[in-house]
Amino acid sequence: MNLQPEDDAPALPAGESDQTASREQIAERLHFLFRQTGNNPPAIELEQQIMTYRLTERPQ
Amino acid sequence: MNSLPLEAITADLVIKHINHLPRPSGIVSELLRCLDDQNATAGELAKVIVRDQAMVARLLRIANSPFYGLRGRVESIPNAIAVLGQRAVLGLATASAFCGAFETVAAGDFNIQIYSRHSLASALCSRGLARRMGISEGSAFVAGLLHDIGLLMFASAFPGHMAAVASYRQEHGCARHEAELAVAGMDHGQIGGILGKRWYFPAAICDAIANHHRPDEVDCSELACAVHLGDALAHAMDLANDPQEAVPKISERCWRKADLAWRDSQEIFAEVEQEFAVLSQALLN
Repeated sequence: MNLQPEDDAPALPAGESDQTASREQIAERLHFLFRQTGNNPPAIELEQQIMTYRLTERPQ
Repeated sequence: MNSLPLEAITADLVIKHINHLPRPSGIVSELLRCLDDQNATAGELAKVIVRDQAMVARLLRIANSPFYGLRGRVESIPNAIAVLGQRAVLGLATASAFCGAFETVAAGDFNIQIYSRHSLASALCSRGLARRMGISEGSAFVAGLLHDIGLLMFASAFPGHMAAVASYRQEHGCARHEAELAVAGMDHGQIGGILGKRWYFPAAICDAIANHHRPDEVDCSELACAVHLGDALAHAMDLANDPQEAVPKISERCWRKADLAWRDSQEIFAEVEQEFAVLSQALLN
């Protein structure tokens, strides 16, 4: 887990507000979350999976 | 800040400072014994839980929440075990015992709310993965719940190291556990493994805690793989309310071992979000 300040984080509130967030806001937050994974293939796949979930699969 | 180099953290140093953390209650030890003992009965588990009436109240509140579809019908712990299952109740009881047990830990920027939310999310993600990997869901839930317990030690006993880790991360832009290794010679997983052994946690749980950030450096168990991946999923799901949340690199070996189909991952995300809402409300508020 990450408990120290680093740089400016995108402002999408965690978890609760995807339904009102735009696709760009969701993508920006996910890009921020995966900023330390580099070219790690499982992380790339996981980012795609969670992006799909956020945009299409999430129960309303 | 003191400019002298920091002392490397060793197993002996962790043991020397172990009293900085509250020792888990006797009930926790008995719950973990029930987890480790394949022959433990539902009656034995119920006897342990009913000794803590606050825990009983929390568990009944959870069992009667709409999420489990049993609203108002679970009136006792034996009843909860009968309808939810022994392992599920064991996991919930352990979560109930641990959430709040370390509220007094405070140092620098350490945030116990973020810690607790991430631990609960990791427990649920690890359990979802374990179900699909065909390994013990109960052990995965508890190991996920406790995987970052070493962070509490960093915060309470080694605040100088914690501050140095933060500075190192600022400078190098690396993951927390990498900075811990560079600064202290040991990461929070390894420290947690030492604490778990000292507190007589089951060996498989200690192994998973110790190796959740280095599954490729040791011949780690499937449980450790599940917790390594559960931790990553929990970070990716962004449930901890941590503005500086970051997903760590993921072991390709563990990822292949889990072999998650696309549909599996979507189901895990949905399950975890729904149950997290129920449990965080009941246990963390």
